[in-house]
Amino acid sequence: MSNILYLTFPISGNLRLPLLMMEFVLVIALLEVSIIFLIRFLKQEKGLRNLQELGYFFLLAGFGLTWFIYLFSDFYTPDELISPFFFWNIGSFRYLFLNLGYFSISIFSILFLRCVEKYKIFLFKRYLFTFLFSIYAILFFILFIIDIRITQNLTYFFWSIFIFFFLVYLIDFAKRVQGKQNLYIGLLKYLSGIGLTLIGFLFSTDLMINVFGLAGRLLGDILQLSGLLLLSIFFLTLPPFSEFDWMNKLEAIFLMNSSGICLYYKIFQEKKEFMDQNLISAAFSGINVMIDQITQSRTGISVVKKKDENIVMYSGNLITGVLYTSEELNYTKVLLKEFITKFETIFKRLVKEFSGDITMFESTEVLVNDIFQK
Amino acid sequence: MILQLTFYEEFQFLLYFLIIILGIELAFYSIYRFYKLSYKKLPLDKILLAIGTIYFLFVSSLWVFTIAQFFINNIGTREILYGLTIFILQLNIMPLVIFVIMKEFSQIISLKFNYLYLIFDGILIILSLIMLNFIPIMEILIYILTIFLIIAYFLSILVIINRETSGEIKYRLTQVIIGTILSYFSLFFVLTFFNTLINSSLLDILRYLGFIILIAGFGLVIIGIYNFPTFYEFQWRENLIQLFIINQKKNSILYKKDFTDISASLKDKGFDKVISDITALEQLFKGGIKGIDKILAEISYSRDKNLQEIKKGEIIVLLEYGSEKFSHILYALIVRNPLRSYRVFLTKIKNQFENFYKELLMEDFGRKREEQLFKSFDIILKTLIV
Repeated sequence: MSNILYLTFPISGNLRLPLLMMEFVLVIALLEVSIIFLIRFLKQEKGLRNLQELGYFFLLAGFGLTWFIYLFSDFYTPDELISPFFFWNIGSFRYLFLNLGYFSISIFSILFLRCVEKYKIFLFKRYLFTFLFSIYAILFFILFIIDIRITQNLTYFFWSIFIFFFLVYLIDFAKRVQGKQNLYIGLLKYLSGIGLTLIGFLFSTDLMINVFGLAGRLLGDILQLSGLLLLSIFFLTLPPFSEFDWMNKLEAIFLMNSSGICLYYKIFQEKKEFMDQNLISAAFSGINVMIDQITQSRTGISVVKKKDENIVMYSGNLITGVLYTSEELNYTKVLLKEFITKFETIFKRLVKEFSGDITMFESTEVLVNDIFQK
Repeated sequence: MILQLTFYEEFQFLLYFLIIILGIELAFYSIYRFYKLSYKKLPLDKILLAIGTIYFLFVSSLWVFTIAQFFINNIGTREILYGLTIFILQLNIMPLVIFVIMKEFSQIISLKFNYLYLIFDGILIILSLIMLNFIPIMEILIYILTIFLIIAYFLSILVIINRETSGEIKYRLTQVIIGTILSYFSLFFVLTFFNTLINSSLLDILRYLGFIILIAGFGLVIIGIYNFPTFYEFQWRENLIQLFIINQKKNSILYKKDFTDISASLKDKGFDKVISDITALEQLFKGGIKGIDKILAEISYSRDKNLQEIKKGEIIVLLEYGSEKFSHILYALIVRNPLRSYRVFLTKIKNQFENFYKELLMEDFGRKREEQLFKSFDIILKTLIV
């Protein structure tokens, strides 16, 4: 004899209210964590913003919205088939809302991947997963127009790629945190969070509800909430991913005063060759003046890009810093700004009273080591 | 008997549930912030604990009301739960009253004021017990008076806070108190005790308005307690005299600051001699402290224990030593009145100084260069005093 329960929707009975409350909490928690990421993104200085925070916002807000739509479809819409249903031959309101949920998570996942893949190539090509998910979304939309009932099976394909992406993401992350004990502990939180969320989500699918009933779904909700809690702790304590390998991309730094005299320089990559630092400083002073003229702005960050070479310039009140990097990273801009601000605070008097003796700035070395080679 | 909710009732229940979740989060976050700051043992930081407890009681009363409103069919039981809602609200303010009557806070607020509030609150509790189920209009009046009394209490605290505090603390506490006043004000609409007086369609509109005000209030409180700064004792700034940061290896002063601009009132109190005798103090700190420390260490065989404090009359010299590799750096803060806040302030100075100059502190510069380099600490110190 089969143990399949075949539930009808909207969900009713004794477990309706506990389930509704639990899933409502899940939606609120997802939206709250997403808002924290949005605030973190908005708090970053304009022009130096790292899109990864925005990516996490999209992901969590997407899941929150999807769960809200699922909640509406499972608790408030009937699953009786109606023929014809709007422009479809057959369909139901529950199918309609479920499809809206599937569609919203696909769109938000694309936005998330777009933000994350901007900084990192996963597998063979930049934006590979963004591309795959875009194809999925288009395919989903076409099938949705043809038959509202068949899209549910397509979501298994979505979850397969999504889980695959997170595995790739995880492997990449594990490689980067080698030797960093505290991040390994974070990784464990991340893994268990992902595991709990996935198992919990599995219990809330129609397939599993038909086997385990609503009690299984309640258990699934509890697991998802616990998973979300662990993931939130992990993500909120995680430094931006760009922080892990930015050091390898630094090539050189030059500091010059308003007359274009090089006060300090350091070459990070020995294989990189530069001309005499005084000529470089003079050249950059000239470039800086030109950029200021073009943009009609004296302060702020300027970026000059060449193939495999990026030059970031930041002018403080007294000093201009030039940072050579092999790739444009927002984080290095933040560091350059921090460095110039700190340098100007400490050496303000020496810069103002500069008489040509650059040995006065030798102690900058310790500052550079602290900020750029930590 | 548990009622089956209609679609509309379930929607309203979810709104109440949302408020309760947000309130619980707010309470937890406030207590968590208190826990994070508790290592400093500053008495006024307990305000976070008070806020957390207030909000726990607040959402508890809301939860009791929600159960009565949506799940209780029996009118008698429902009335008792409504009464319990108000009773919890009447007790709600107690954590703040306990906080306010503590020694450090009672310097700026009259105890009579608190006792007066407690008497009023007690009268309302007794009246609500007597009136329960007898005179509905009187009951409603007591509910209104209870909420008014709480709002009035918070308003008076707000006035005192604005008068007695400044800077970041004043700003944050104002946000928290205005947010709390809004939260209590919204109860006029959210706790629909008044449905006998107002027609049902208007009641629903008012209820949604109440939810909006309540969420705005919670939002303000969360913003206020987010990264809540250290709450030093009142008037701590007025009693600061001087700060010295000394390199004991070289017997040189790395940084010195005269706070007498901030604490101008000290001059009126006969401390101008201490303030004006800077050169003598400098000499004392350059070598004298080390000497006293050595003598005491030899006397009591306590070489591993550092000198922490020197007192003479009302003047106190607080000492703090650099951490690990900077143990040769001595931080000396001269103050009047032994407030716990000064130790926290001095530790903050030490942390900021070491953090900002950690690279330079490892180097050896000439004295003139040192003076130039570390003078920039003025900017950081200013941010610590605000």
